[in-house]
Amino acid sequence: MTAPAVTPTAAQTRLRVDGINTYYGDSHVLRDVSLHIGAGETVALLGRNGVGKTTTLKSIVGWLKPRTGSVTLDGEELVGCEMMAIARKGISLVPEERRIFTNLTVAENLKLAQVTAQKPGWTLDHVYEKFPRLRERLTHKGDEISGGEKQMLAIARALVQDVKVLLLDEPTEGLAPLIVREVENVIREIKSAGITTLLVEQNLYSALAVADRCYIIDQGEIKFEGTPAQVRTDEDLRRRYLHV
Amino acid sequence: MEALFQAMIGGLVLGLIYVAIAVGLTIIFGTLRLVNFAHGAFYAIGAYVGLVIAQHIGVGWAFVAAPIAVALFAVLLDRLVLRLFYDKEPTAQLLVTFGIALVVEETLRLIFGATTQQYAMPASLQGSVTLGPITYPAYRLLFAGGVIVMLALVWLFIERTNYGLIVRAGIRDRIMVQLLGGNIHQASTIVFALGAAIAGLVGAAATPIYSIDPATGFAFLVPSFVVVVVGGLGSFWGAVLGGLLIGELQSLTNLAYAPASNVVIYLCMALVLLLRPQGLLGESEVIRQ
Ligand SMILES: Nc1ncnc2c1ncn2[C@@H]1O[C@H](COP(=O)(O)OP(=O)(O)O)[C@@H](O)[C@H]1O
Ligand SMILES: [Mg+2]
Repeated sequence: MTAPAVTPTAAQTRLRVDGINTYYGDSHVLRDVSLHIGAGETVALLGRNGVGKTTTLKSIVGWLKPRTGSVTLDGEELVGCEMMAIARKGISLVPEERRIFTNLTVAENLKLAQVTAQKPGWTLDHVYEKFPRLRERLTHKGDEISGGEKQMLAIARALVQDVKVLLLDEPTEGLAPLIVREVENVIREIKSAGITTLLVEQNLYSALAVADRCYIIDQGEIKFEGTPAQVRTDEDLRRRYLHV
Repeated sequence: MEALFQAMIGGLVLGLIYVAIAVGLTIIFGTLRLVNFAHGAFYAIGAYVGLVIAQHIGVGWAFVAAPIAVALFAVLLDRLVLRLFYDKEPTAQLLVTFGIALVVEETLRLIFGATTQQYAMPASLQGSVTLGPITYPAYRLLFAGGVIVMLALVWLFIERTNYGLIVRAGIRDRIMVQLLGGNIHQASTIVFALGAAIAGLVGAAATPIYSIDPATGFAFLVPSFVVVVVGGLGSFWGAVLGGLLIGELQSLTNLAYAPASNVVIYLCMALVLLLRPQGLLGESEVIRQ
């Protein structure tokens, strides 16, 4: 079923997070977190609620600054760069709350991402082909569309830019089962398009179905690195770090 | 009847000044989250720059120099002072912009003296126009038309350009704009300069109608804040509606019972705040940080 895991060599590594420690004020949230993603890989970051998944993503995109450690994209250091600069280098975060601009229409949300892109990614036609529901909602304001449509729009907004690494924060969270299925299909499309992706999920089976490799994080520390098959078969691991 | 008509056109002209100042206040608040008490000072600086240029070079150049000078002043102010206060609490921003307004007022008093000044319009614009039952100074009508055209251009900039798109997105969510690679700092500077330029231009253009003294900045700022509150903080059309409403209200009350003409706008504000706290066209939704 699953392809054998490939551990990328240094030359293939696209994004490398190396021993970062991130704090909220005095509260030490990430402890020596390290992970790496090879070009074209889909990597899942799994863990319970409140263990530091979102904080890891925020530390990568410059939303939070790790006190120590390093984050590199194709070997280039990102810690200390501004959020805008990191985005322009090609790292795109689709945040947990989606953050659709509710005062703009669906079309304007996409247009904005095109306007702020350093390099164009998917064309609008390509987007509408993959997200047919968005085409029907183009003139609707961002607060007039469903949760599933917001998630689709948030992902589409990232893809109209030339993405080197896509960071998806719980894309299936809060969606109806049928819509979860649609989002999973979209993630599969992204994977087959060869886009390097870090997928944060609490929805274990959703993530295991698509990931090449996965990490498990607990209380701000990476506890496991391996294949989806390993996670599927190791019940003890799942009980300790994943099951609620 | 004629007096009423006269007062209504007077209210329109006054209201348009409020609209222009309030639009600047409201887009600056929306984009920078800054309550700018120095905005009246922009009006005053524009008026004095206009005065000097009009007297020494020509009225036409006054209308060019005033908005440019005020926009440059605003950008410097933003870079040197306000930037330090972006992340501070609103009270600190309020105090620093209020302080800047006082410094500007006293500086103008030092340079130009406390007396009221005005510059004369060139003869070609001094005529009157007959409008139905009344005759009205041509310049005031030209001024009103000019402000309307300027506001239309500002609206087009915000609603129809790529820059405007970044500005509107930033009004809702500055973080997400940056996550998409948008330059929110540049957009903020442009909005601040634009709001300042509008106030400066209107200050220069209104001086032949309303004379200027160093305190004029505050004199226009306070009703303009009322306009922003009545119309709805952050709303362009709210500023337009609120400005025209307050201008007319003030002008008509002045006709009916002059001593009440200042107090009536605060009554209007209190009424709006009671019935619709977000303002006439404001959104009740909490704007994201
Ligand atoms: N803005 C914040 N201020 C202080 N603590 C925070 C903040 N955001 C998250 N935390 C804390 O950091 C820890 C990790 O949070 P987060 O990365 O959001 O978890 P996850 O995404 O895995 O659910 C949690 O204990 C949470 O309470
Ligand atoms: Mg999270």
